[in-house]
Amino acid sequence: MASAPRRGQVSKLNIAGVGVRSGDLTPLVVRFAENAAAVGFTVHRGVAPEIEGAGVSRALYGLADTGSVVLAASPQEPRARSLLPMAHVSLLHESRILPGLAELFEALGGDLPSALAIVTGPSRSADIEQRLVVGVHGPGEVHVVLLSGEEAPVQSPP
Amino acid sequence: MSRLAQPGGRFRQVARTKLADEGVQEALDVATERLAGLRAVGWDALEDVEALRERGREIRTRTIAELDRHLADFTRAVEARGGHVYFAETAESANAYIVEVCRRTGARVAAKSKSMATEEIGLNEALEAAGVEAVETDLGEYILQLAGEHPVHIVAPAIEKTREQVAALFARVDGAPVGDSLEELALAARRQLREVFRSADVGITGANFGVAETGSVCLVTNEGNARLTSSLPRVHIALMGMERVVPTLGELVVLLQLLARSGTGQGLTSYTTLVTGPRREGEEDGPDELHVVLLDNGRSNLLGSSYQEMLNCIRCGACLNVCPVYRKTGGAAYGPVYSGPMGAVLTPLLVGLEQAPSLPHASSLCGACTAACPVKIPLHEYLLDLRRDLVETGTAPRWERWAFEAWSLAWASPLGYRLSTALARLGQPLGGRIGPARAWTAGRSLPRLARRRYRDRRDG
Repeated sequence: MASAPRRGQVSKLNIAGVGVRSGDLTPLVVRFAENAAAVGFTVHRGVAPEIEGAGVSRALYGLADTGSVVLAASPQEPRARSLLPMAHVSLLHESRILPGLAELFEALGGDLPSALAIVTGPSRSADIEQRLVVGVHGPGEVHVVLLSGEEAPVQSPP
Repeated sequence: MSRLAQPGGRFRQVARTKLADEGVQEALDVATERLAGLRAVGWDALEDVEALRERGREIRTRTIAELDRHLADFTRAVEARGGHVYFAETAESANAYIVEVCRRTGARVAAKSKSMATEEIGLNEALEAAGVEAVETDLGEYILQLAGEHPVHIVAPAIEKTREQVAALFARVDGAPVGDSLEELALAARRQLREVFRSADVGITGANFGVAETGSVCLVTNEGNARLTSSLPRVHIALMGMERVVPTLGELVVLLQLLARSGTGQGLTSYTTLVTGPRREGEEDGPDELHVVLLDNGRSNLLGSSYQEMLNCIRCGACLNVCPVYRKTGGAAYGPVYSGPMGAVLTPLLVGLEQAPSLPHASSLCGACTAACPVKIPLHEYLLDLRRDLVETGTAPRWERWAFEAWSLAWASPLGYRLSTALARLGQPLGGRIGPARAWTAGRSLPRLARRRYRDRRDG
């Protein structure tokens, strides 16, 4: 039965929905998806969820080790889009998934955008009684949509 | 006088009230156990923790050894990206520069992201005095600002506050009751602080690291308030302790891993942001002006001294969570800014030992802090060295010195030793109720000496 993916789960349904078997995923993509789910992203493949009021950004890179999406400020990608709404969707091309931070900085080659945000899950705080709560400042609900195939590549690194 | 100064008797006085407060004791247990536990899990997840700590220590030590060169590189790189750099020798000059930027840009409201360096220089008070309203936006710091209190933990500033207390503080802002569930409180803070971000002309952040090769300011948070603070207002000012420079992005990778894992056990926090210059052409948000204020304020005292490694500190808070003294007294006893073992070492070094003479004694010298430190600062050895300095500089009370000299003299001979134990047996009925022993027996019972000495029993 079709059902919406739960937070913190890799959506098998959406993977099937675009006609790709999970066997088609490279180990790096699988590792990214698992770690992204572990830190609180809902992971989709191919199809972006429709959420009213959500901000949508194209991620420059993804980091498999930590399940992070990397957002770079640019004329096409204002900072506020991933900051102000309660829900945020990152579109990430599978070919742009790197192992970790070291590879990210190598890929950027020392030429950084004015603001580079490495986002690893929802906005969270444990400042009250040491108990975790999400959505204190930034989005409390975060999604990442894995894209593959011939889709238009994400903007080149600045 | 510096905000860091901590007069002699104050530690004991504050600690006593905290020890008697059951609510505080429970809050401290919960917070320190949770954070120490998270760190343990985070470290276990690494393949070779010791190798990473060693790399971290090596990077920090090498950088501090050539701090002037790296700061010059950092300054050039920030300026090349259109940012401004100001080197502040003192707290006063840092405050004056920041106030001047606010005045020049006509700022009325400044949004602040959590920064212990701004606590160190008393920036909020300086801004208020200049007619600029400074509002803390980190949830914990916001709560404390509303309560008129200071952080009690460098990573989790408001651990002693309960949900009910927070709800009452937020209700005062709204002028209407606020529900005290976590979700309601988070939403109330989000709503109240969005108003602040909307009206803020200046955003003030600290800096976890400054990257010399790119001129980037690195900000590490979980709430995202540092991103908002550095993105929405038209001016961004980052106050950075001058020791926080990192030569390259490659070295930053090592330190980010150590910081996140030691602080909260995370692989990376929710938001790790690198700000490189103000907004660029065509970008629709981001600050028009970026100012980086490099803060000395006593840090250069440590350069070339035997305490230089204290500048390696990356402010993760791991030493607080494992310290048996901090876990009972909490942070307030150490003063309004830095607490735990790192605070007990750093504060006297920044302001002078005579300004904070009790802090080196706030330790059992068990070494848990040193074992927890991600960059292997010998914290408990430094605390012992500072106690030695107290005696050598004559800051320690004279009777203490005489007492130890008399003790050492007495126990140097068998006769003296026998006499001293005989005296102790005679004085035992007093039960440590007089003299310096009183402080020790106030919270503990004095063990009784055996009726006969062991050696008398064995020999006879």
